[in-house]
Amino acid sequence: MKKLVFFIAGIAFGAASFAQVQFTRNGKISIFSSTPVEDIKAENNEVISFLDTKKGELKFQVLIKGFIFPKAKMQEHFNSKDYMNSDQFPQAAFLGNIANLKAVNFNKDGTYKVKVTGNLTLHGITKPAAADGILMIVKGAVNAKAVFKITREEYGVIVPAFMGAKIAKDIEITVDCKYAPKK
Amino acid sequence: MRPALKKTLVAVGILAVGGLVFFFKTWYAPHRDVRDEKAVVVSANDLLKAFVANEKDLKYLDKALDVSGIVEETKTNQAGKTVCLLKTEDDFAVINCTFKDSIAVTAGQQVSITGICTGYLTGADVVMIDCYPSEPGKK
Repeated sequence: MKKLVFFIAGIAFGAASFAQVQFTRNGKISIFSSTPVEDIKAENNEVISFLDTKKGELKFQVLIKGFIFPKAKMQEHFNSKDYMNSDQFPQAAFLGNIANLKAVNFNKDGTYKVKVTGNLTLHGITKPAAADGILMIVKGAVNAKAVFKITREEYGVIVPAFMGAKIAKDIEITVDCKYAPKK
Repeated sequence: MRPALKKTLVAVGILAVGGLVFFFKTWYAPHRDVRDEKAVVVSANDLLKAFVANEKDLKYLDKALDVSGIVEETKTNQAGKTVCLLKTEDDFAVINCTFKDSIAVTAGQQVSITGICTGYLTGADVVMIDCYPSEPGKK
């Protein structure tokens, strides 16, 4: 009986103690383009993201100028008017929800498959976007990973013809955020 | 070989070599190093205020900045780099500075940090990357 009381108290405490809003200022987003000519990868480690574990809402914002490429020239091209035009459109953002929130128990350590749906704003254009992802919960800490696959032309990123062979039409955006409870 | 043809071949050769050197120098040019640039001096508060007033503020965007403020928190990001958050008058917003090399700073310390400003995340942080502790002599 004592054990049962402790068990119930433990569950109640766990449920109450898990912070509803999880937050990071230093999440990671990588972008990846693959063509027979060249694979290009860039990384940004200053992603701000909120995850509301009760409502299932997920938000992230990232600065285009914060993507670091292996070569400085690639970075310059990426930010220029012919590509992301980052002076005019400095940010990208996603606002969405975990569609299958009921499949996740934030009070129990584990790896949960999730489906994320929402709107992605990139290059000044907002379009519906969806991604498959996982939520890893270890000792109450949440790590979210998801891969968005987008077609750059749908977001108005039409690269110069002579670069077309080097830059894929379909781009992978990988989100990897380790959250902490929002204070 | 006729002298004219020889001259033409030499000229074409020089142009080809020159072109290749130019291509490789441009394509493999190193990333910018903020220590080679003259930084714009600004306080953490003034920097945030400028971006809140105009999110596309070109006075600071993509510039080398020397930002002074009080450290709210230091941590290591997911890539293993040192991150230092500078306080602002806004309870939530910070100047989020990622350092090039690991450094020792503690919360509450008054610091000056030089880095490249990548912009403002609406309603939240101003971000600086490739940061170093400022060198007083360079102001």
